[in-house]
Amino acid sequence: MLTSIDRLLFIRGVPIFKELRDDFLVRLASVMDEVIFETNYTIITEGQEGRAMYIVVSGKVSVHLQGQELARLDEGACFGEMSVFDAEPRSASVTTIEPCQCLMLTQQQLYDAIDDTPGIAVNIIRLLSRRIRELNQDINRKQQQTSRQDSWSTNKAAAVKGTTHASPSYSANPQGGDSSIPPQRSNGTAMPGWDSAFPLGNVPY
Amino acid sequence: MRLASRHDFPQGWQRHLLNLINLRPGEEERTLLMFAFYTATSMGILWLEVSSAALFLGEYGAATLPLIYIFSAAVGLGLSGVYSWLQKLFPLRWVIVMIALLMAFPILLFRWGLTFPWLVGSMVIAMRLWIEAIYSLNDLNLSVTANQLFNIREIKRAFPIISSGNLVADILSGFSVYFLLSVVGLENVLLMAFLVMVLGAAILYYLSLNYEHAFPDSPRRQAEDGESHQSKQRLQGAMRQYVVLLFSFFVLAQMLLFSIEFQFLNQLEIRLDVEAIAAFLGIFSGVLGLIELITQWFTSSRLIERKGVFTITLVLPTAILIIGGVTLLASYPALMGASILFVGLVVLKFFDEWLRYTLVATTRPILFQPIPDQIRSKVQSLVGGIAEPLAMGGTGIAILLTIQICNRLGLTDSAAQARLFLLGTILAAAVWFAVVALLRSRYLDLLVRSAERGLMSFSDANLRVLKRAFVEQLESPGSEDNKRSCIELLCSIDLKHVGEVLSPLLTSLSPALQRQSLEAMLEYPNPAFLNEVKALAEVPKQHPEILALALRYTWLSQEHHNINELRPYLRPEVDAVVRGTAASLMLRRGNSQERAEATATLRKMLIHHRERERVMGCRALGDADYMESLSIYIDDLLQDPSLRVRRALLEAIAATQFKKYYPSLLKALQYKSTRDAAVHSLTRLGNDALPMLETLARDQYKPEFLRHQAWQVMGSIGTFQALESLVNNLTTTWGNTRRCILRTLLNVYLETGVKRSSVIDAVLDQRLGRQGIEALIDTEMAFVGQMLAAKIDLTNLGGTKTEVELLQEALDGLEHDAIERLFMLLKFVSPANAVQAAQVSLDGSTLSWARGIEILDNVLDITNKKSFLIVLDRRPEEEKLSRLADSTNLVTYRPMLPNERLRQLLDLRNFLSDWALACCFHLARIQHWNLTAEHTLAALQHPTGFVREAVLAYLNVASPKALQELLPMMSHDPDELVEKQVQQLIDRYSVPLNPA
Repeated sequence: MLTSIDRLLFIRGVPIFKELRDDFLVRLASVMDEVIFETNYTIITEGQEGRAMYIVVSGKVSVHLQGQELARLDEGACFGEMSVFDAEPRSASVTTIEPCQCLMLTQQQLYDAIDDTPGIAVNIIRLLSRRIRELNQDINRKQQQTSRQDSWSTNKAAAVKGTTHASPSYSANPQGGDSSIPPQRSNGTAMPGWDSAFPLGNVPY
Repeated sequence: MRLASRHDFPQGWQRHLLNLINLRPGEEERTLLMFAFYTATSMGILWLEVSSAALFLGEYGAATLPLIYIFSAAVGLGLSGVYSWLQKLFPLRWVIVMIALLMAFPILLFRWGLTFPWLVGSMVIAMRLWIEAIYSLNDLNLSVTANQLFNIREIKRAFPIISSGNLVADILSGFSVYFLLSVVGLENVLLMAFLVMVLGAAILYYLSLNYEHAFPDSPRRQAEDGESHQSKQRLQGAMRQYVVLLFSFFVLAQMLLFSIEFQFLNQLEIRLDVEAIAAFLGIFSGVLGLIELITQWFTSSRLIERKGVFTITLVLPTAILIIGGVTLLASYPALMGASILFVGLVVLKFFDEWLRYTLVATTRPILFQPIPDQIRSKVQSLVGGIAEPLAMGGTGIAILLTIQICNRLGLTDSAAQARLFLLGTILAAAVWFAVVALLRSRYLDLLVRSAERGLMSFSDANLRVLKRAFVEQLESPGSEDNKRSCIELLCSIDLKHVGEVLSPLLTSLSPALQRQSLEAMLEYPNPAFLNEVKALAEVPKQHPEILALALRYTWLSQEHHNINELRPYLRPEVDAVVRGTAASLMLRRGNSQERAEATATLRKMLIHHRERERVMGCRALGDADYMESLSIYIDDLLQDPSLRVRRALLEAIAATQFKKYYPSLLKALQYKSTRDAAVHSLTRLGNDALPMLETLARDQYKPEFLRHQAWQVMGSIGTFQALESLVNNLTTTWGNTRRCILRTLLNVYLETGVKRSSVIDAVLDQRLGRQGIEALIDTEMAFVGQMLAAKIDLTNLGGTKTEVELLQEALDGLEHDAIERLFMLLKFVSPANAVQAAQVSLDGSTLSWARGIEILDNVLDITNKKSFLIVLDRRPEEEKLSRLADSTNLVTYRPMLPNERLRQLLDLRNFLSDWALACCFHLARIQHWNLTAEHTLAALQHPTGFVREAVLAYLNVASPKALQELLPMMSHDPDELVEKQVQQLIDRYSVPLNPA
């Protein structure tokens, strides 16, 4: 069984809770459920509605979409964080590769904690606002790059007649890459970033 | 560290005296010193004026006065500029003393100059110029100093006393002039004036030393930044018109003052010689001052309350019109001739000064009332700083032009010119009269508008005038929303007499407004309005809600009734709301058989399958005042699947004060769905709910959220007892609980407009006072000192870092919380907007942080301001703590060994948060530090699970034997994690659960 401190250290690693004070988090940590899954158990299924997030305490899970593995997550990683704020269908499935122990936080548990300590909500709003600002800056940067490329292409096209360029489209991906490919650590494992199983995309708040 | 203690209030005669002059303990010394300063300086100025007036009239005659007015306006504006400039160069507490001395020292020069005959002429002019200029400078110095020394609430009480120093000076200097003239001579009176003004400056110096904390340390640079965004707001529409009229009002008032003064001195010059002028002016201002003082202390405010602002404001223009008109008519040769001009102008001057400095001066702040708070002070300073000096210069120019035109036209006879000036004065007074009338109509309009937006407090407003304005709004065709606001405001102002206004309008209002009006009138049913209400009930196919309310009003207000009239309404086909009302009235007024009939009807409603029937049944129960026979249904109804039913029932429990079910009200506070209804019901219970709310709020084993709800409900009850209980608990609680109480009290205290509680100020003054707040501020600062000391002593520990970091972060959090509470406390004694602006700035960049500190330095006047600014400084903790220890005896620092410091922290456990306490035990476990049994046992009983968990983990390492003894007692711990931990430990140590 995990102690409050163990739970706290795990939950501190969740990006959306990073800015919260420990005395808030420890309350949240103490209401979380410890769940154990067998190997090959599908914790969440693509397309299904979900209202809980998970933190891997031990074991490994695979994030996959239509039979294709997107990432592997191990101790300390979390998945499904956005679903504690909305009930959108899951964008990928997560299945255990080996026996797993996870901490689970349901939407209701989070809402109750916010009810008790409204400061949690304020901190989460602050963090989400910062994320949106970062995304906007990212989009702007990419748009500028695109326009530079376009002008370069136009110049080139003027030199080489008959060549055309389609301008690429971008999604609001926090990692700034293709939304279908999760970010990788230098060692090749998925980075437990912003809801790594379900890239932010156009999640409505 | 010492705890906040209740301030010891003076007893006996001191208390009576303070009550008599409407001051609170701690304010008397400042008020007395300010009064002495203002009296002394004003006396000096008045001696100077009397001497200079006599010398001036003797040397140059009144004809030169217009030039003096023009130059004085320029000098006055220039000196205001010098004042601001000095504030940028020197700290404010130096500037006020420098200005006081600056006003006095030129007098020595004048006195010296007067000894040389060739210099007398220019000295006399310079004196007169100086007098006119330093009048406003003295008032400016007074208001700046008073604003630093007193907070907003204190200044309302203290300023009338301080400002009456001017009137006292009038009397003292006026009556003493005659005596001084005969003993020391006219020119030596100047020396007396100098000495008494230096005495005023000395008092100010003493004040600036003794109340150093009330003044900013640094020269003024960005102090206005906190409010600068507000001053950028532009005036528009009706508000703009009002401000223009207000400017015209004060400009005309000022022009009339100087115009009358010019004519008065002109007549003195014609009729009297220099010595006689000084003696006459002395006695004149002495008598005037005495009458002004009596009027100001005993009549002014009462007259305004009784007659209204505008009736009183019109008194002076009317007096000028009448006295001026009579003098003008009588001065014609056919009647009494030019000699009457002297008498008439003395009388006119007397009435002008008397009414101006009493009645008009008292209405001044009220006239600024409809202007929104944010821009009011700016408009006030524009009027005082620019409009009035310019009016003085304008008057000078107007007089000069008139004299020039008269000379061109050959009208050189002094009596004829005097009549012309008098005519001009009468015309100006007529225009002033018209401006006041126009102001009145705009004033009402704006007052209603700002009241609708909740921007205005009614403390000073004329309620009767306002009520009339609301009735006009309700009668005129207009939007439904406006009318709804009007009814709401009427209820807020005078709920008891709301029927007088609303009942005649009932039939003409829309159904929604009829309902709102009837609900308001039902708070105080009055048989006088029965006919109007019955007329509503008799309307065919009347809306059921209105019919039910009308029925209820009729039955509650009349004494004699025929119960049979209610029977038709009990029939099942009648709408549930009417039926329920009829049944509740029958239950209230009927005999036993009729009650049984009503009970049967209500019973059917309460168990009806339709939700509406059950809701109306519950509402009727609340109206019935008699619930016993139906109480058997309450338990089921509390579990009713319909939320509406449960809410209606909670309100019924409160309405009938059914004590047996009060716990249900507290329980309903827990759930989001029933919380609003529970809050409403508990608030309705008022003082009856206080004991159970306080018990709940103080029970640390109840969920924190529920306890906070209880404090908030006490705040929304808002009675003297409720707020008193909050204040009492404020001094005995700590941490989050104190924060919650502070927030609740601040919500009530910072409320503006009609909703503002009328008792909060009284509770704060009587139960806490400024010294009480400062004591709380001191304890918070002492606590911050403790946290800094702990952070310093608990750094650089060997072994695992996690627990050290966790404790350090927890201590950071506690320091942050204490600073937040400090800011909350400061809002009670300093301008809340400025404190808020500073608090926000402190989180930003270095520049923004510096601005925040600057604002605080300027607005705070707490004794330990310097220490508070050190707490906010962005310095290394060691440096901060050492500066803090140097600046105040609240904080002392002696380096301790880490384990000693941890034990000392545990001694302060009641002040620590649960998480910080848990971290202490985790650190002790990791570092193998011994803690006392007292610490361990106390923390083992802590209401929070993770604290008990930390103690158990500590005992597992430090004292397994003691732990094994404790484990059986904790096997059923309410916290799931602790229970599992205990179980694991029991298994590990094989502890028998029931030791034989």
